[in-house]
Amino acid sequence: MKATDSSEKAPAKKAEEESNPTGGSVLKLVRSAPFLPGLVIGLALIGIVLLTLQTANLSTRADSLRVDVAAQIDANAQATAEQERLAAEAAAHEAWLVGEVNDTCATITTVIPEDPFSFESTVEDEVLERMREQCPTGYWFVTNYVDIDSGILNSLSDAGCEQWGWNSSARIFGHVTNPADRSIDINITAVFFQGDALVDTGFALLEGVGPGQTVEYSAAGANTGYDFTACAFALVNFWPTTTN
Amino acid sequence: MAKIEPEYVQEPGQPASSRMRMWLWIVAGVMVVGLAGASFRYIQAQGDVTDLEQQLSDARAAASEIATGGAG
Repeated sequence: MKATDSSEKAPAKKAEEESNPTGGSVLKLVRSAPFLPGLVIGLALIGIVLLTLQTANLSTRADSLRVDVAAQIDANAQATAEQERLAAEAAAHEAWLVGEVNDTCATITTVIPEDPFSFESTVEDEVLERMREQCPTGYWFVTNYVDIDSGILNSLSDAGCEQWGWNSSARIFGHVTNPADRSIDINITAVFFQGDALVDTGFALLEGVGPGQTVEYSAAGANTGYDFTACAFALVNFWPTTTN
Repeated sequence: MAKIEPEYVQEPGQPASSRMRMWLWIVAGVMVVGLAGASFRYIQAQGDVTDLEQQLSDARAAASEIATGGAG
């Protein structure tokens, strides 16, 4: 009876395999290859180990990158804050300068001492007194000296400029008596014209000049080989907030 | 008398029994699932690294923009 059952089952299975040739062949392969599960397990194990190692490497790199990103963002925030602070300071400073020059000190435009050698006393006695009266928080004056190569101070024109020979230099100096509790910043500029054309400029910013100090600045003119006009002027600012 | 032909005959010396082979396939299946999980974690970590590298690059670009006065 069993033999009959078995012989009846076999053709049914055969027919099933024939109707599904791919499934059948896979089934046949699985049945006929006892090493296959071991192979799959081995390959999967190798893959898992390799991927785990790579993932660990990537995690380490990600941690390092997180630290770098945080540090960079922090540095950016600090740099931005510093820039904003400087911009605000510069804007306040500029507003103060413009206000002072245009409002209270604009009347003091040119100081021309009769005798250049008495500049010190002129500044001390007259100019600074006037400045103290008119600009209690900040003083500006514009003066000019022109000095040729010999170093001898020469007379000045009313316009603050003088016609000199070629290769001249402009020099400005002064002995400043500023309030004892304040330093001053002096912005000195020398300009050289040939006709109406600006041919050269010189500039110096002397910061924190203490009371009683002598300030001197020389700027050599452009060596054009022709006569040109040299003008030197100084903007002296008594910073109200600067202390010695 | 009809000859009896068994459907499956285990040859002498053949190592795995049918039951053993079934268990091996189950283990293989589990390993494949584990491999898929490891692959997923690897891809995720790679995505994280790429994202962070981009963030660092952006932050450095912003720093150079700040340094040249483009911001603030």
